[in-house]
Amino acid sequence: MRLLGSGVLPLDDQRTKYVVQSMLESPEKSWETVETSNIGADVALFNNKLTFSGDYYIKRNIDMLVPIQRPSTIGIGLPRYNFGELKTWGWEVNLKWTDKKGDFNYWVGVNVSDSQNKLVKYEGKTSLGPGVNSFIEGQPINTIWGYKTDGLFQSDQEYKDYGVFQSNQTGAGDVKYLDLNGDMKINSGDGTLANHGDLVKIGDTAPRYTYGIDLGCKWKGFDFSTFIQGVGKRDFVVRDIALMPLKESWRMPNRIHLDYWTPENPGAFWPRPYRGGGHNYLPSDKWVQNGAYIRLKNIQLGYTIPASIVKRIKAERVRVYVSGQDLWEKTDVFEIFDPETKENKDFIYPFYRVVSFGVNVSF
Amino acid sequence: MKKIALLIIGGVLALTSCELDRMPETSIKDDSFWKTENDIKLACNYFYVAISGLPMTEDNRSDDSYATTPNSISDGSRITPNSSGDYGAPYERIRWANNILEKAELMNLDPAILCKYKAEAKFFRAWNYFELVKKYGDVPLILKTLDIYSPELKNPRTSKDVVVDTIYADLDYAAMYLTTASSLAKSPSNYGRATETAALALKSRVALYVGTHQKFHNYGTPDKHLQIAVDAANQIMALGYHKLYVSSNSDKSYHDLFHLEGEGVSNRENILVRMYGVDKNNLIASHNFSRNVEQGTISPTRSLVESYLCTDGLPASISPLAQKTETNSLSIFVNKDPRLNATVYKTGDLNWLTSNPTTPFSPTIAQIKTGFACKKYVSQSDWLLQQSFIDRILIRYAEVLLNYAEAKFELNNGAISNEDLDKSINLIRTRAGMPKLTNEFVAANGLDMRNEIRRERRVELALEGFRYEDIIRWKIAEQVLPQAVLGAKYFKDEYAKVTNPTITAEGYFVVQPSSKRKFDPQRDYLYPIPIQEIALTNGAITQNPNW
Repeated sequence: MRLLGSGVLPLDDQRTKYVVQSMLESPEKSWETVETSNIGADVALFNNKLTFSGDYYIKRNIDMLVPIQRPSTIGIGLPRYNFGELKTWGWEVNLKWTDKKGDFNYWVGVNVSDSQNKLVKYEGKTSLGPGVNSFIEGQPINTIWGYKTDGLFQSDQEYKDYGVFQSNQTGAGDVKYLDLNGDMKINSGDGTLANHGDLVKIGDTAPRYTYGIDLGCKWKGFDFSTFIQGVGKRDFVVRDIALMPLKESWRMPNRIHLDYWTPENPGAFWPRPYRGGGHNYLPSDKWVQNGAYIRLKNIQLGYTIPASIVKRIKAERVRVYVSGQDLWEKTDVFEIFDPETKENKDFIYPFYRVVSFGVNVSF
Repeated sequence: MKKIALLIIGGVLALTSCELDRMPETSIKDDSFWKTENDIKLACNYFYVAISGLPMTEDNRSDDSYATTPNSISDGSRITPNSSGDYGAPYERIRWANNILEKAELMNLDPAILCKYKAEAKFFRAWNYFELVKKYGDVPLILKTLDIYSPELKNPRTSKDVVVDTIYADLDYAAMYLTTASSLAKSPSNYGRATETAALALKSRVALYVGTHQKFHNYGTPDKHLQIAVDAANQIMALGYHKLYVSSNSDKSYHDLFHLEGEGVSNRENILVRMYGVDKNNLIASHNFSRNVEQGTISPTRSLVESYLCTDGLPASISPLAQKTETNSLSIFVNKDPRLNATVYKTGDLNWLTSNPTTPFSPTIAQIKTGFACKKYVSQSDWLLQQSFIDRILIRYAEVLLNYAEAKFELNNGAISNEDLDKSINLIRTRAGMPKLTNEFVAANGLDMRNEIRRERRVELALEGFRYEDIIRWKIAEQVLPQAVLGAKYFKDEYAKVTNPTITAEGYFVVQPSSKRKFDPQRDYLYPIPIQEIALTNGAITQNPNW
């Protein structure tokens, strides 16, 4: 498939068309082959009061479509080729208890799952750079690479004494990066798995140990239910543009930046404000977020009015309820970011909590 | 006994996913595309949107201009990038040129017609290889289209001598088969396309670059290249078609050259332009350079402003006409080469970038960090419209004349005749309203001819993107780049909004102090090769020295 892009230009002030091939053809491109093996168990005990199901799987995506890398001399955009092989494995457990004591019905359900992956084959390519690297052979998809940091420089002299070149702007109040390979500068070496200079793998963006807890009960006319959701481990990267206070300030509230470095505030979290201060916001352990969270996704309390009263208004059933969405969570992510945010997003629709009241009437 | 249910499922499933991209039926297949003359013409048209346009910011790498934040090439703080458009983008144009050349061989068209388009492809292939050589030195020479399995992807860097010879050969072919500028003028519907003289002018530019680079960096055969530069420039001068632009108000010629007054086929100074057009009612391509300038995208430095001569032809340091002690923001403009007025806003100049065209320029360093604002291509009405349709000049005849004078001078062991000066630099001086440059004048005033030729180039082509390459090839970057970047002089009453400025002992704004600037001659005359290119070729591409 050869794709030609086109556009217009003014030649002698006349609207004139141009065409250009922007992406290489890939006639050998074909479907991916996915092989899945899984083993599972379903168990019910105590008169079906306790149910359990478990599943373990291994998935091999043998000719995965992956973006490929070639030296720039190829001079054209490249489509995806079937050159990758991805192994994914994981498990899932569901446990539920349902019981009844007189008028009181209740249930508790828990599910936990985990998934890991590894790019087994990728043409032997292991090149990487600061930030999220989608494809590195031998690594999970989307690993995060960044520099290690050690607080902020307290004075220009401290940076000078450090002796490691970071940038021309670096001085008091700036982030100190660690020179792990001792070459007196902060860099990514050859940019490969074999030599990645001062970069270290900080984590990866795939959520691990996702869980949900579902509980509820009914008693006489009352009903109550709630659902809690969370992720046990996840790292995510916030783009520098969503962090730098003086870059595109409309992207973020001022209040998170108030704790910035000054000689009088040496223990500040944020580096000194600096116009064009990109040197403080390189991908690093300082900015990678621990995306683990637990969140109250839903909670609801309802009351069904007794039929004897309802009959008078000729209805069959009337239920009033109050319910809340996303009312509470606990996470270490910066307060302005939703822990469920996807990678490298900054202009997403604002997160909101919902409380609703309602009446269900059926005739 | 409780009921127990146990179920184990195991198995292997083969599934297929649905991630294949289907080509939209409206897009054109490359294989089936190349049929008519119009097809190959549309393919060549791409080059005209791929060449550099406005805003022009190339000189921010040099000592002549500054943006709002430090330029890491200019101040010596850049680090080796992972990947870079400086390296990658030229190879995209080169591939497209190679593709056109290959497809042309398969097209069933009159060879005379095909040659024209092959010549365009070669012109732009040469253009892009020159971009690479200037920055990286040796680069892989790729003269055919590659696929993902091509062994040439792992080619090492080709010697720049070989690359330069290829550039010359491409430009010779282009000069032979491209339309002449005069015939283009007769059928203006093709105005904007590369011409014979564009190829010759580019050849003189390349040859002057290579010749002086070899001469001052002490290698190679500089005279061979300097002779090529002289010959190519001479050919254009002998053709007689191109001449310096003279406006209807001849005092404003140099100013109007960079504004709508100087646009179009009737301006014979322009040899190649990046086209914008047409107007707000017929929008095809526009830029927003006037807003860019207001926001400080490119602001001239004191170093550039001080290089302008006084109207007597003498440098300000020795001219009796200069106001040696600046007493207000206008002092530095007094009795100066009129081109300074056409290049830099001064206090009181009308048409400053506000909603009212009668608002005069007044000193500011809020966005324009040097306090000097660029005037070339800048217009109040474009600022208001937030759209500009002024073409960017990429090659003009004045550069050809400057190439000629400099190549002659360097070729001739540092001497140039008054006759040669008269047919080159003095045409430019006369148009600008400046006295002539002669050997006698230089001798009488203790000047240095090389300095004056270089100054003329710096002034005439100010901010147009030549300065960085000039200081590289003259090997003076190591002297000029480590110096502090200075701006206008601070006057308390004129800069009422500025408190506690960082200024020198003379009172000049310090835009970037010399302590933050350095230039390593062992390293910084070349760009660093992007790390990825080395990794992806398993080291066949090697890094430049000391990077």
